[in-house]
Order: sequence, then C-alpha cells, then structure tokens
Amino acid sequence: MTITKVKINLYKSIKKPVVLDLHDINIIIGQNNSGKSNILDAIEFALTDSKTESHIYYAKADIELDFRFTDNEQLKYEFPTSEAVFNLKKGTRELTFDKKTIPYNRTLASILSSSFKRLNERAFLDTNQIENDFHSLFNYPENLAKFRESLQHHFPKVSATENALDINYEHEGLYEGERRVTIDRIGSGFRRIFTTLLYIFHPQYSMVLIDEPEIHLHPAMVKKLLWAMQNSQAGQIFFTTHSPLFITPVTLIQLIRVVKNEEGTQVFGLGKNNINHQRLIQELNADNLEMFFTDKVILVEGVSDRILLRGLIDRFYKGHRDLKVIETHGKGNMLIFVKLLRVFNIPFAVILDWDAIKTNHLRDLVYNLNIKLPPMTEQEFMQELKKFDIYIFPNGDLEANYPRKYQQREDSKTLSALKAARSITEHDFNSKPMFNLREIINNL
Amino acid sequence: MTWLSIAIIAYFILAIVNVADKFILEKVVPGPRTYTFLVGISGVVVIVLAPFGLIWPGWDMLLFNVLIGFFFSAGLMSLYYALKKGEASRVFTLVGGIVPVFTILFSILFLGDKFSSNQWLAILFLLLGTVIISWMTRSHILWTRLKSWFDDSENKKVLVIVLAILSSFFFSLFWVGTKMAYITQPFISAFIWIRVGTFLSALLLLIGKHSRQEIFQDLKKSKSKKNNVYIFFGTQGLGATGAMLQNYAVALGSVALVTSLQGLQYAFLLIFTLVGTLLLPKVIKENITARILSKKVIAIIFIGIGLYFLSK
Repeated sequence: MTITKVKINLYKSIKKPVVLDLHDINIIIGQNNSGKSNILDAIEFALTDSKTESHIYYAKADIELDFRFTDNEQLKYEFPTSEAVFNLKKGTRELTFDKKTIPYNRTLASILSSSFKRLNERAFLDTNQIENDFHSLFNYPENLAKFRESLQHHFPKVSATENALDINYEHEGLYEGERRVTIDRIGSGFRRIFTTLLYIFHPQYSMVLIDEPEIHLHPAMVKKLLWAMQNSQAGQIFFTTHSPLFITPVTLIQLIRVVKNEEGTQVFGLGKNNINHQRLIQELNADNLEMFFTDKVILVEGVSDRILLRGLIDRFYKGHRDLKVIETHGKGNMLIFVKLLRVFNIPFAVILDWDAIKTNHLRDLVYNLNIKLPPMTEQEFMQELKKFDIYIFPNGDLEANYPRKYQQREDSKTLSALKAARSITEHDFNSKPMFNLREIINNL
Repeated sequence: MTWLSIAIIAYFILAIVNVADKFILEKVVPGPRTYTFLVGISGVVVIVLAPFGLIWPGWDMLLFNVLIGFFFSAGLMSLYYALKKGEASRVFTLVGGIVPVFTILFSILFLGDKFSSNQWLAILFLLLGTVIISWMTRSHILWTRLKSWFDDSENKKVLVIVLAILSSFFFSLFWVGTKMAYITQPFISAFIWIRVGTFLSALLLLIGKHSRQEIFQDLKKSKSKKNNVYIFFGTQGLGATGAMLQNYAVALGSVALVTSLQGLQYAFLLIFTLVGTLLLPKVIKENITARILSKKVIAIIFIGIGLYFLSK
C-alpha cells in the first residue's frame, strides 16, 4: 500500500490546502516550527481512529490520500480495484474506489492503522514493540536477509540473532565480532539504525514515517542510511530532516520543502516542473545543495565573486539572515539555479557582471521571474532590476568594484578576491569604489 | 560570439540577399508596394520560432513592439517612394548615410548611449566608407540597375531628399525602438512581435484600392513564374536569417554601432561584384577602371579602419 498523492487542509498549521505528489521516499525539510512534522501527523491522524488514539482532535481537518494497493493487498482485503481515495472530512472517514465506497468500519480501521509505522522519539524508546516487530521479521526470511545485510553495511562487525534486543548477557543476542554485547551498551546510533532499518525492511509496514532519522548518527552513517532507504524496495518512507546529507541531486525529486508564512504551512517540491533534471545532477554538489537550508541564496557568476562576497558578508553584513553564496560558473548557468530556487520557494538574489546586460541570458532570467517592464534604457533597466534582487555591476565586473590596492598584478583574480575578503578594511568598505558591493550587501 | 562578429556575418548574408533582391525586383515583382507587402507578409514566417521563446509581453509592450514594426514598414514605403521619384544611387547614399547618424542621435537621446573615442572614430570611418561606396553605386554595383526601373527626374530632387530623410528617420526609429524592445524582453519574443507589427502594417497596404489592385496584379503575374516565387521566398528565408543575426547583434551590442556597420554590406557587395566580374565577365559587365578601383579600395579601407577601431 502506497500513498501516491496527499491533500491536507485545516490541520494544525496547514490553513490552506497542501497537495503533494508522493514518491517511494519522501524527504521533508524546513525550518523549525514550519510544519514538517504536521504533514506526518496529518497522515497518521487520517489513518488512525482518533477516538482510540491520543490525538488532539481536529474536527475541521480535511485530508485526502490517494492509495495504490499491491495485487496481494487487493486480493487479501477484497478491494475492487488497485486504486482508491481515502477521505477524512468533518470527522468522517471513507475509502472510495471507482464504483464502490467502503465506510470506515473496524476492519478498514485495522487495515489502515496497521499499515504504517510512525518512528518518533517515543517509538524509538518502545523496546517491547521493537522487539515484537523484530521477532515477527523472522517470518519473512527475504526481508530479514536484507535487514541483516543493511545492518552489516552500517556496522560491519555487528551481527544480530533473534534475541538481539535482549539485554540479558546469558542469552544469545548481539555480537560485535566474537564478543557478546547487549543493545543498551552498544550506543544510541546503533539502536537508532537498528530500529530504522527494522521498520524500513519490515513487510508488515508498507509506510514508515520517521522524525529526523539523522539524530545520533555520524554523517557517514546518514549517507549509508540514505543508501539503504533508496534501495530497500520494501515500502514507502516519509521522513523529516535537518540534515543536508539527505539532499543529493538524485533525491531532489523526493524533496518537499515546507515553509510557514502568514498563510500557514505551504509545501514546495519539484513535482512535474520542467526543470532539466540531468542538468541539475551536473550542477549540484554537497556545497551548493546547502541552499535548501539557508534563509537566502546569493547567486554569483564565478569563484572570485563567491569568495569576496562570502568574506564581505561574514565581516560587514548587519542583517540576521543566514546567507549562502553560490557560484553558478557563468551567467548562462544562472537560470537553472533560479528555476530550482523558485520551485522550492527559496529567497535569492542574483549578482551579475555588466556584460550580462548584453546577453540574452539576462532576458531569459527576467522572463522566467515573470518580470514585465516597459521600454527603458539599459541604465534604467539595471536600476529597476534591483527591486527584484537582481544586481548588475554597472561599471564592469567584480574587480572594478573593490579598491585596486587589493589586486596585485602578479595575483590571479581568485587570489586577489581571497586576500581582499580577509583584508578589506571597514574604511575601504565604506569608500566610493565599493558603493555597488556595499549597496548589495546592505540590501540582502 | 561577440556582437561584432555576429554583425559581420549578418551583413555578409544580407549582401547575398541584396544580389538576389535585385534579381527578384527586376524579374518577379514589378511594384514597390507589392515588394513592401511581400517583405512585410513574409517577415511573419519568423512565427516558426515561436516555440523557442515567444511570450506574451503584456499589452503595453505588445503595442510598443507593433509600433516598432510599423516604423519599419513606414521606412520601407518612404524608401520606395523616394526611389520612385529619384535616382536609386542618390537615395541609397542618403539613406545609408543618414540612418546611422539618426540612430546615433536617437540612441543618445532615448537609450542614454555613450561612445568611447575609439567608437566615435569607428563611426566616422564607417560612415565615410559607406558614403563613398554608395556614391559609386551609380553605375558599378549590381542593384543600381534599379534606377532604370524607376522614374528618374532631376527636378524632384527636394522631394527625393525629404523622402530619403523621412525613410531614414523611420528606419532609425525602428532600430532604436528595436534595441529598446530587446532591453527588457527575451530576444526571440521581441523579434517575432516586431515582425508581427510589420506584418500588420503590410496588411494596411491592402486597404487602399489602388495599391490593392497593384499588389494583386503583381502577385497574379508572379504566379506564372513559379521558380521565381520560390527564389523570392528562398531569399526571404536567407534575408530573415540575416535580419535575425543583425537584430541579435543589436540586442547584444550598440544599435548605433551595428547600423554604422551597414557599409560593410556594400563592401561585401563590391567584393561579390569584383569576384563576379572576374569569374563571369559576360554576365556582369563591370567596367573596372583604375579610378573606380581606387575608390573601391579606399572605401573598403575606410570600413576596415572603422572595424579595427570597433574591435579595439
């Protein structure tokens, strides 16, 4: 059973309808208190009979889940088709197939509530439940083998028997090499990985909802966990995270960015956007993917721009925003970054050399940002674009915008920028030659 | 590729089209209105570029683009009326010389353009080269045979000058307006919308009964010469490519400098004629004297110097 699409409205911080096209893996990111967990909560809330669970009841909650069932599930539960829409509206739940609607009776409630596992802090501490689920995994040798293989991939020296969770030394349980160990002595990271992998590979739970799986994990473990999730092929996974390690060019399609503003929680994802995914894979790396975890991104053309801007921001920026400077390797590449930032609703500014005004790249950018301006001169155009956070050096390139004394003839542009980033004085920063850079930094 | 190299390629292509145009004007389309009509109508073929970037520019910009397109038709019509009343070589000299001057003035006035001393020198040499070449067109350049095709009356000199200036005025407005359109809009989109403006103004020619009759009669005649019609549209295709490159150079660079480079087109024509005279002396009856040759060489040198200053 997988959810292919979810619509949530009037639930916790979600005050306007939120629609998500879902994948096998769904990575939910966003600032604290933006409403990430509320998406997981909403799914859990819809699938669980609130009268028997300790949920706060949201009477107005309007949640719609598009389900796809496997052939086995369809046969087992005698569903007429493999696709159905589950609705929770005004406290009433029902599962609607093409020509049949099933009311939310005890059977359906049982099917749905046992189909998923919510892995939050409480669940990670529920050792009895984890132990029960671990034992039941032994009924599925294929899944157990995958679980063991993956666990070994994370912890090569550790092997788990059926009593792995038994903390009694006398029983057979966990081994670290030849040495008998108990799970309570082996470290919180292991327990975390063990539990996460258990539910990822457990066939009884076709959906696993995890809150911040990276907690207690070394970055290398996070990467391995991501790999395990991507290759589990066991069920659908939803998780919230604050770790950039989960964001790669490949997982970008699975990314859901949650933002909270005056209108409540809103979500943004690639969806069916016509961004060239292959180009993104070429352009994105561990450094620039940090854009998903910053308040505002500054797009610049080259390495010198990035180095100097970064240095000047670190030293002279008076605002409170976290700013990430990203080089796009040329103005022709700006658009792909701008498209990506727009899709995920990440605020950004663009800084270009003067010659950008002579290229069509700038017009394409302006068009993509839906900026419509009347006929005007190039000077007026550059001035007008500042309102849209697009800055063009009116006097050339970066080198024309900081004092020449920081640019030694024998140094490359990059080296000059590197030196200047550290040594430009406050007096020089406030001088006339740095007016353009100062204006940009003050406006960020 | 820089705007300068794009402009050079554009003028090379336009010189080829110029040769073909001469053939068309003599053999297929006998009326200036018909020619303006066909140029305007066929310009709309650039709509095939629509999937590559046509956007809705908003009503304000649409009207602006269309108005710029109208200026082109107005320039074309004034040019043909000037040609009808006066000698082709004089008209082309005037228009060739005045368009860059007006464009420089308008670009300073409307676009706030500023030129470096090298660019001013380039403009000076290019204009000199253009004027010298244009004067020589009297009897030594292929398309000057146009003159035999129009009435040439010396006592209409003032009218011819006024019409040529009017034509230059419209062409300059067209170019500066085009540049303005390219500043805030993606190139392909603005390029198409401006041609739509020219297309609409060409349709206006059908309103007048006299010009409508002339156009339809000319088109009927041309129908019987299918091959020539193909040539017409073939050269229009090439012309569209040249015009597009010329426009792209304007979009990337200074409109005043690109229009100043128009002499380059005549220089290419001179070279074609020289080559043609050597290869096909019977077809192109060029009488190359030392005086003419020296003038040609001087003109080409001037244009070369202009190009040198531009590229500096």
